[in-house]
Amino acid sequence: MAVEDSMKHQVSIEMALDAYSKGELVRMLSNLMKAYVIDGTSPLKPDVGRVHVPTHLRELDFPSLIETLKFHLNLSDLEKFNVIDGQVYVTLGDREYALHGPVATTNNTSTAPPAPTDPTSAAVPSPSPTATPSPRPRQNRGGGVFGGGSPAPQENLPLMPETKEASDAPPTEADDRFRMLELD
Amino acid sequence: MESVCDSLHTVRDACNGNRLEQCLVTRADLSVLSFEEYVLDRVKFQSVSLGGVNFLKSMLYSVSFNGAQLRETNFTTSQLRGSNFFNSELIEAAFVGATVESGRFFDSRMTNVNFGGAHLLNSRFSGVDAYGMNCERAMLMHCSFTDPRMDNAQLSNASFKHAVLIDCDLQHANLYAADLRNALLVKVDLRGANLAATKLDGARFIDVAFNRSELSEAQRSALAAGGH
Repeated sequence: MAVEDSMKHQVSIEMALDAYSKGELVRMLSNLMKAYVIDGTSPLKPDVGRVHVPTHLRELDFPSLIETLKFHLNLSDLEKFNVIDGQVYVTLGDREYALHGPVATTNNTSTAPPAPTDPTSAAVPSPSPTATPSPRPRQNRGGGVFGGGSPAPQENLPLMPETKEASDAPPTEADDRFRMLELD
Repeated sequence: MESVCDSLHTVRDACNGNRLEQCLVTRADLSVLSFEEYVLDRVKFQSVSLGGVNFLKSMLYSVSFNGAQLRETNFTTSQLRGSNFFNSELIEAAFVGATVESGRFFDSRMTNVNFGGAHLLNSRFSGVDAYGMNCERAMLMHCSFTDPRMDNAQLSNASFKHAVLIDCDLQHANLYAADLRNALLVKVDLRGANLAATKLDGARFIDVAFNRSELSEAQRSALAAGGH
């Protein structure tokens, strides 16, 4: 148990015992001393209430803890967490959220396929970086204590519906077809 | 040599001063007697009626009550060491300020029994119905509450207000609507216990095993305010 926890418990006990009279406290203390000091009574369940957390885990911050867990445990739910630059992201459905940020992320433009050269697809909407900003940095992710754990951000990006850029050109037949695809 | 008393008259004869020892009392109605400030040593009460009898300030050493009627019996400020209650009726019995050490309460009806300010030490409660049991300002140390048949000790509506519970086993206990306000719990096993509607304002939990997720938001706040 950490020293801080132990001190906190002691303060809590003192505050609770403050409500008892001297007579009550004397009786309590004498019974406690008789049972556990003189008679040497063993606790019914010595480990009850104790959460055994390895010491090295206690010293980690949350992003490092996630990285460590991902590195050591093969749990699919942990794959929903990503750590980049010391920030934890969680994937819910097809969106990814920063644990300490309200903005949902979408696909990064750098991962988008190159624009088609086919003239019929010239009007196909392209992702707009300004319309769908991603708060998530793409590189220099924070390393875990074991130097690994989460996959590269690019490997784990969700497929996001992309926002269509406004265009002055009149809609073509191809536009209508792609619109239907988007709805599907 | 154990003597046998089977009537009110023979019990009175067996009492030497304020002392009754090493005897078996069976099938007698003793409800008119008083054992106030008595010393009872190695006495077995079997199928006797002791309803409402006064054991005030008495000392009971290795006394057993088997199939005894103890409704509203008064054990206030008495000292019970190594005493057993088997298959007895203790409804509304009073143990106010009493010290119960190494007590065994088995298969007994203890509805609304009053342990206010009592010290229960190294005692076992097994298969008892302790609905509404009052343990206000009591100290429970090294005690266990179990029910081999029902799998959960019946403690609903019990009061542990301002009580101190140390090293107690309340695993799977039914503490529905129990009052734990301002109680101090240290090393208590509450795993699987029913804590629905349990009042926890000001309660302090130290090394207590329980399922936090089963608490309501209000209960969690109450615990946090209590310093947990």
